[in-house]
Amino acid sequence: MRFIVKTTLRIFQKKRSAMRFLPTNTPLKHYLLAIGLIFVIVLFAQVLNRYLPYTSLLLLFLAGVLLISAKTSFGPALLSSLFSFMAFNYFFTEPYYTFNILHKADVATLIIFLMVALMTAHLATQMREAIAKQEMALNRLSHFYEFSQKLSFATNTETTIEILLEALRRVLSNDGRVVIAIQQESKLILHPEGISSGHPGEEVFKLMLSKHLDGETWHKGWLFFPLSWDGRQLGLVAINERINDKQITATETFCQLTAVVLHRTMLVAELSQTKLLAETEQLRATLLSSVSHDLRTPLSSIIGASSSLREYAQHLSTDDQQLLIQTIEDEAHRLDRHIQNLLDMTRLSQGKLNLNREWMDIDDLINGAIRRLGHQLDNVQFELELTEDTPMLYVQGLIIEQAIFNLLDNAIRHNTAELAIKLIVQHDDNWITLDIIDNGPGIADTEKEKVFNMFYSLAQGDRHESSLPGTGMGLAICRGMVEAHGGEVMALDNPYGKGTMMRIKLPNNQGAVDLS
Amino acid sequence: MATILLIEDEAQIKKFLRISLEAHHHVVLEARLGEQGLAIMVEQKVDLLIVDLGLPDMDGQDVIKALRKWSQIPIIVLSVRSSEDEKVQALDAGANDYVTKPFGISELMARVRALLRISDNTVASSSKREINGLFIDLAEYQVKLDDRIIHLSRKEFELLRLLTEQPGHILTHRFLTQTIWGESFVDETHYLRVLVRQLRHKLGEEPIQPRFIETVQGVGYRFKV
Repeated sequence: MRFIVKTTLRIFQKKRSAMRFLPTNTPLKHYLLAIGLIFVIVLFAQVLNRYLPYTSLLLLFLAGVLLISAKTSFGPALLSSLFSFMAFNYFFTEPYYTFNILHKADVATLIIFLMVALMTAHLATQMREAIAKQEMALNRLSHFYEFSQKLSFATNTETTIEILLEALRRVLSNDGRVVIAIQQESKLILHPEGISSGHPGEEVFKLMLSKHLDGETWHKGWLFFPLSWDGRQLGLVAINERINDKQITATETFCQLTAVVLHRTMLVAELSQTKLLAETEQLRATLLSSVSHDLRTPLSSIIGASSSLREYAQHLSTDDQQLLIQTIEDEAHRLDRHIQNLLDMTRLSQGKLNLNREWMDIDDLINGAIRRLGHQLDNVQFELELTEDTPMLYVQGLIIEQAIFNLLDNAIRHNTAELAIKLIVQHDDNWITLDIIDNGPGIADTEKEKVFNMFYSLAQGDRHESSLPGTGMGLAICRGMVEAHGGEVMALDNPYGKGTMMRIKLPNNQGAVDLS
Repeated sequence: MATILLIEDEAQIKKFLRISLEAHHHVVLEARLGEQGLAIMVEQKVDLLIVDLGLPDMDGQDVIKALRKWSQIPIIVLSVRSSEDEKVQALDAGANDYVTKPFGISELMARVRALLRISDNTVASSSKREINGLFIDLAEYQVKLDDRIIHLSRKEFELLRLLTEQPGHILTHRFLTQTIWGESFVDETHYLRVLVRQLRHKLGEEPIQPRFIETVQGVGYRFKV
């Protein structure tokens, strides 16, 4: 009997050491429950004793031990076994109410009971522990799963670090003692954000980073884990807490997973930075070439024509002189238009179009655009279809006038002279539509969207001879202006024949207000 | 014929303006700074002022305000395109018209002619006006277009009266709404838009080539002369 107890105690100790990271401290109430249950069973057995042979009552006690082992832990189970053993001995074996045993058979029965009870307790608690372990493993797995799922949604370094911090705090169950250092462009960024004290210090982080750790390392009371991927040292995790093997393994796993994601987000950030630089560079280059081409061409004509006049006026006929003077004026206007375009484009691309909306009569807008076209319209037939009940537009007049001007200007340049340019205004409950139709060569389907692209049209410049109709920036600006008003601009085929139909759609807001 | 003062700091612009104005037999006085301009105004009789809004020493707006305290001569403002608010501000301060840089000389000459003509014969004082074939009898509340009587509502008549009082002058949105509807309606420009549309319709205007009422985008209206 001593032997058995010793063995079980050894098992118990072994269990404890293995269970160190399970909740190990059995609460007192489990022991009380064990004692209580046995007490109840004793009472119950007293009653049953009248109807059953007393040895059968042992089954009752066994059931109690089984119940305690399954529900609590080994300690209370052991206690209930011993208690049952003694209670049975005291109450149900002759001589009653003593710990002496009269019959030898009873001694054998009791010893067997004790062995069975201890085995039951042992097996039941083992099973319970196995289940608990499995649950924990499952828990850990789902932790990892949840963690990697969260990580997969992280788009930048900050959120990634946040997720890692949260996960580590759960592992360590002691928050605030985790510091993460990230190396970004030769700078060291510490997390949690704004942490100023309670960390190993930047110097230590730098020292540890320079060591290129490949596993956890202790240094001055802190445990460092590397965040590295693909041979690149991305950062460090420092933990100021004694942690066990399991926690170390978990932390390592979290760090490895995070490093992969960090590597990705850093790459993305670097890429977008490079892309932005490239785009700015492209814009600058195209702007420069546009400025040099579109501004210099008219200037060349102006300088050429005016110097011709100054040098050779006496040799030139009056008609030729007038022609040269006309050139100077026309080219100066063209220059002015380019500058306006450049200004408009810069304002649009910087999103600085603060709309100052008013109720506008569409007649006035069309009239203004036509007036600004001036003698560009002299040799062009122009037809306007406009109904009197066209609603008022809630827009900034000058901007929409400019948009209409750009499209008319574009149409005039591409129209073939025999046929008229049409401007048709229609409306329904939602939209007011302006269609500007020319009879020019038209735009290929593949180009219909491209003509509105700022880069594309910038690169094309105002070159009339290019394969694509020379649009300059006019169309891109027109679209920007109309879209700022919640409208649309699109290029369509001329429904009446060859050519292009440019369509401006502006929201019909008049329904919302009573203007009478 | 008339003495015109030019306050402008750009030498090239001053040069071509002087040449063109003198070609039309006007006497041109020049000033580079606002202070100089105001000093000339005090000393000499000037019939018309052309002033640039961007001067080295003071804001052109302040020149207009200072001048309007004691003189009613016509003022034309030179401004750059990008500043609609600036033009409106100048007009509200008392300027009569504006030209946007860059401008053609014919545009400026037309303005000069219109303003000089008005200050010559004061149309406003008589109760009967005839402009561009439009006959208005203020006492009888009657408007005739090419000998056909046109029936106008009270507000339409008031608008036409204001516009024809100073043909060729720009009347700002603010001025018109304030005069026709009152101070609290200053920002309700859509009333004005609708009223102008109705008046134009009754006058039988071509939508894109108006014969009488010209829209000055973002600024106001002007009766054509």
